[in-house]
Amino acid sequence: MKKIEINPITRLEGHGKIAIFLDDNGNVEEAFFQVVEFRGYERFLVGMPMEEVPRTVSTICGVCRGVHFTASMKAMDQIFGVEPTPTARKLREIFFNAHYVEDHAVILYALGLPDYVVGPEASPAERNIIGLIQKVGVEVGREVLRKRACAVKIFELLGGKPSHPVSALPGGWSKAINEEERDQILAWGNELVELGKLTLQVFEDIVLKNEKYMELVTGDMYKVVLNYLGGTNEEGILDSYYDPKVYHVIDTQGQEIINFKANSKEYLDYIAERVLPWSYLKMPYLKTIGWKGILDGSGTSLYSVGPLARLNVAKGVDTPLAQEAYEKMFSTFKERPIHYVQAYHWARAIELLHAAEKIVALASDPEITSPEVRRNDFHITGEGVGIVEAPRGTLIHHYQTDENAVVTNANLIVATTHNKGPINLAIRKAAKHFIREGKVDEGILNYVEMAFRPYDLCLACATHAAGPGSTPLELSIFTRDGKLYKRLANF
Amino acid sequence: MPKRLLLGIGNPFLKDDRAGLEVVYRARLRGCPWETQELYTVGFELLDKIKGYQEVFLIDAAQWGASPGTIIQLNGQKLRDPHLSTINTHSMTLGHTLEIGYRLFPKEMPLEIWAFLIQAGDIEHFAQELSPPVERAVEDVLKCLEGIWLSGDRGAFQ
Repeated sequence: MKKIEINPITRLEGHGKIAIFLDDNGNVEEAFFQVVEFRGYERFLVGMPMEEVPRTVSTICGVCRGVHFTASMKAMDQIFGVEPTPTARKLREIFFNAHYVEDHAVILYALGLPDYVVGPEASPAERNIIGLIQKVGVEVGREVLRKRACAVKIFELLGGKPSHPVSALPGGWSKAINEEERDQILAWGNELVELGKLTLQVFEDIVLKNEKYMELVTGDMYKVVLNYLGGTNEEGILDSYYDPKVYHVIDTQGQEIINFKANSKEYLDYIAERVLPWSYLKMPYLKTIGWKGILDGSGTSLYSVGPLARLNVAKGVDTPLAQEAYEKMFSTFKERPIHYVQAYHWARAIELLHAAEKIVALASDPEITSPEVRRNDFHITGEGVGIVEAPRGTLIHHYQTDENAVVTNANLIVATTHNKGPINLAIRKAAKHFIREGKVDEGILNYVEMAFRPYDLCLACATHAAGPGSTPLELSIFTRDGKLYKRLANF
Repeated sequence: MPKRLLLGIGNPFLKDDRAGLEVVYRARLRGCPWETQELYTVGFELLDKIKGYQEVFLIDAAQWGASPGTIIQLNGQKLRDPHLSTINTHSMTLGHTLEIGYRLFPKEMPLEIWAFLIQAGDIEHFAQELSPPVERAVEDVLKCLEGIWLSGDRGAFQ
């Protein structure tokens, strides 16, 4: 049996690799996404005062900084026995939506769209955001980054510190805003709505109007049939990424099979984590169905999270432009749930617009400039669960503390962990489709990469490691006796 | 007087990865007259930080197989890297981000960027104390920077 390895060699992040095994005919027999390194933020947090946790976990990852901050802040509210004031809640939500827009924009323009704009078979040296800029023009690229910077400015204005926020208080938010700041946020928010509209237009022009690309988007090589997990309000509408009220799991046919209360320990009744001998990253599955293996299709116990999962689960979204785009996506695919992995990019573009519209709506609220952003009526409960819908999917922070709110136990389940099974399946499907009779070249490698790019794996988060990193991709092909006979790299 | 920025990059909780942040912290204590900032990532936020300055000094821990504490001084132009295929959004490199900046915002990007990269020894453990060779390297970098801000001695930058 031949073995092909795709190795993201990291500088500072958690280390992962993809191994593809070929049979004697050179066709794919099996594929695995492995995480081969572990770093222990959860252990590091033990002994830390809970009020220090949000700004500490924001360093888990330089990209996903706002989501860990927010999930742990929500858990902190429970530990201190307080609900945030209405204004604090709304400020948190603006902050979180701004983070959404900046993160979704990077994923789309730096990661997802280059495959389509530059072309899936283009050289790796061109198939990146620089190549994208060359194709769409410097003006468009400049406009996208300028508008995205508006989201970063909101994030920093409310977060209290560049890059890594510090405004979390139990039941509150340390930064109240005045009318001038509200007007500024509104102006930036309107720019972000324009960014959302532009992004959907780019997606339409580049992908939806291209017959060849639509064959990829709706092709079986990128179809993984799974259950989906996502949060909504009590009516089933996606109205908040910061604070969904109910979590739903729908099955492969779209029927709801589980629902549980958000921000509670109920998730433990439904989600179990399977330890795998070949990876440090556990594989979550639905406890009520039981472990069925790494299989998709009806009856699977694996589930997916993230933009597509959220839209599959929700009956709709609560802003007009995003709702229109949501309806268009489902009418295009003519099925529900949508099981096509490439649709993650489309769902992400819709969510970008939705989050931008939410910023404008929240900043327009008369209550947003109220100085009532703090509470002091604490009583330590000793346990807290914060669940948010992070850009890459459901993020759970669960803490236990002593009577002084010092952490005694921490458990973090991040989107890339939830998606570990789906990522394995997506890679296996694409590899089986594209790698035939041992033929592997850069173009084929990219078609396999396209299967996992929509998830935007965060190994830093998944292994709870830290810091920015460089992850060049390396593919090694081994002969049956384990000797390397070919190596491809995209860096 | 050119508008200058000293920018440290790293994770404040990981032992040697914090080297860039440590340089900035100590530079402030020693009266660095330039603006100073910290950054925990090298994504697009980097561009937001450096646009508008005429000269930028970047300090970052890195790994390239040298002995811990080894310092490389590079002109930013040498860091620019247009040739990267992206696996995830966490794989943006310093060079790739700079390249994007110079392509999109050539008039706003610094005229000069200088980078001090310090070979890290231990980036695995949570600690706020640097390993001894990286500690020495941090002081060496500070001496170079002090030479510039005190007397204009650009030493190795020439």
